[in-house]
Amino acid sequence: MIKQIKDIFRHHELLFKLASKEIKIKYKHPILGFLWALIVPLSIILVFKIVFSLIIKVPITEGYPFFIFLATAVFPWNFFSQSLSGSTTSIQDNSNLIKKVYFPREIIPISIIMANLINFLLTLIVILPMFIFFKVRLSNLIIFLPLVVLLHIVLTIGISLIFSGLQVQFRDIKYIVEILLLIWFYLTPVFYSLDLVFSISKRFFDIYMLNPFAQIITLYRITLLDGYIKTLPSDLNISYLVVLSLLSSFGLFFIGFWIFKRLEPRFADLV
Amino acid sequence: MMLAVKLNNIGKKYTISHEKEAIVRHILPRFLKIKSYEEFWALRNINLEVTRGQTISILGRNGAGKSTLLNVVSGITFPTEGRIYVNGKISALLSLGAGFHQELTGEENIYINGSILGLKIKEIKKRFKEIVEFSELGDFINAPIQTYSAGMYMRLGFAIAANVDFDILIIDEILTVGDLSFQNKCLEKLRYFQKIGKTIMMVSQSLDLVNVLCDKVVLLDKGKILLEGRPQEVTSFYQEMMSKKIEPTFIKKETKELSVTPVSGNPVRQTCKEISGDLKLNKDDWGTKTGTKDAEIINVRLLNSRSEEVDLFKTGERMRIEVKYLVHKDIEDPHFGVAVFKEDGTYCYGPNTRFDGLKIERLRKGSGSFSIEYESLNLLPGKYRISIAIWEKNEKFAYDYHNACYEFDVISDKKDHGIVYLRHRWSWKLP
Repeated sequence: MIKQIKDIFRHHELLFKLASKEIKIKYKHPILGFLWALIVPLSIILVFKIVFSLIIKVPITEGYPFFIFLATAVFPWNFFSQSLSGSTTSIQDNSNLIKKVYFPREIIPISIIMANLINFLLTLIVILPMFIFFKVRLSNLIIFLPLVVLLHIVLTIGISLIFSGLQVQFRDIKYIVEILLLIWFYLTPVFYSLDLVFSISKRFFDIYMLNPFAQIITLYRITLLDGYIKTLPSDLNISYLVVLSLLSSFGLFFIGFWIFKRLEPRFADLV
Repeated sequence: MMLAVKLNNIGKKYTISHEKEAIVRHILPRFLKIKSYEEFWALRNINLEVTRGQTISILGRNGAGKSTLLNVVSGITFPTEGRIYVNGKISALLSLGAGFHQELTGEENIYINGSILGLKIKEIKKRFKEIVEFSELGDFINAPIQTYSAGMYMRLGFAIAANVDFDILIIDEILTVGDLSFQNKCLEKLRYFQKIGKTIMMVSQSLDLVNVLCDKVVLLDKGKILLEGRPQEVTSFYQEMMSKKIEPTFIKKETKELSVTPVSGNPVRQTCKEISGDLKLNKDDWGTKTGTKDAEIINVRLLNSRSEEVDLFKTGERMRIEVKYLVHKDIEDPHFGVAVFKEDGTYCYGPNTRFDGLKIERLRKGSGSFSIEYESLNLLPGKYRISIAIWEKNEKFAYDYHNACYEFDVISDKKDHGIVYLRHRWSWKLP
């Protein structure tokens, strides 16, 4: 398996070519082209600001305007959900490649994730100055942000490999993924605080925190927002959270990779 | 001589589900143990060796398994059984321009297609000029390829592929596309590859190309190797096969199981004389199995000179028919019979143990077998069927009679007319 994972790195040039192809195609025709990758997240955050600070006045919880709280979770979540839904059908969409050329098949779903990652990184570049503009104090822990993003990528690859592999055999999977993403979104603290979950019951909270995205999103907020740590339920141990997130991300990555490799030999016959 | 590719008893089975596999259709039957799909072997028992530097071509009609074979060798699909040994780096050209995107320019596509084919970005940069030159695209290289003509598209695809490093090149029917000058260019390139010692495996329907380019040709039909040899021999056989529309069947068809329930005292009457009296038979009964079933034929195998079970024989080859049977009730003085028919119903030959003066005293309850061997099967090419029977002593009725249930084909590398090959010698005196 280690050898197979190394194989991905050996094909990194192909990976980047395919990812850049995705992006090129996406921004080829619009007049503003690449700028859209910056305009869209900017607009989203402004809409959040207008809706949640001016129209629906959500009280400031945990010391942050609600729209900031929301933004710290929505963009990472979007990266995941777009990657997952894009990669699920990616093997099928590239049947002409699968049937005609051999290269490690996981390159295809991973290239979709890479394309989405580039978008996400651009988003971060836009968002962070906006935070400063809105006078949000950024945490010193922001130096760990790249590590959180890395965990996020590993997790996303793992989950995407599971579903993109299964989709080839069972064409029903993409609909299941749609439903799953919806449920998962509500099980992830995107627009509500962990306090709220904790107030239901301690036991429920412990189970709730097993959701890898509850872990990742919390880590994003910790590294981005100064003082966010203090607002967390006191029961939540940060090092426990980090270990848990490491385990779930890499665990799912290996499981996903294993499943994908098991299914791979039949791809060319099924697409 | 070093081997480049060796295929050892390769088989590739496809399952055809009539619609796309859905969870319900796939998992439920597994619990209920129902087969929800059909299976068919696109390739079976393929043994093939390609030595380094050799150019071989695979011939065969549509659906013979040519592309499947190339796919298996290039590692795109996995064989269901058997082993493949590949010695060297493979470049598979199964289609030109894999991964080309219509909206991107020729240049961008060179990089994408090149990396898909396994080139490093650095290598592509180095060979970029060469690729553009070969493709004769000129300034078009900066235009989106949706503006290209089919020929330009093809030239670009081939130009990239021809610049990939490989030891073994696999080409699937791409050289018959494009105009003459493009074909010549490709041919030139292939000749160059041959000269520098590359191994080439290709599929082409152009017999002329096959004849001039290849060292060896393999004729596939219905997933099996029908003939393997020098280009001229195989292509001319193939031509004949196509013009005569011989339909060699390798895959044993399921014979209709028409079980006749024996009613004691009223056995199904089917006498040997009835058969031998008429040389063109009524084919309606073909494939039926009748008889009292006091003795029952349970297995029939056709073996060639190497004792392999086959259904394809060459004229003059040794053929052995092995029959296994069960006896349910003691039988006095039975005899065994075997008859060979041509597909059109012509009764070719039908010896039985009584005619041959052999006597079988008694069959006791239990299982047994008999076999008949034709030293030299002197039938001319075509489709044949075999009947097997265990007869009552006077041939009043059969204990078990499999009427033309077993098929085989005969091929020959010699031209001949008629039904049988009669050993002969010519002599003459000229005036």
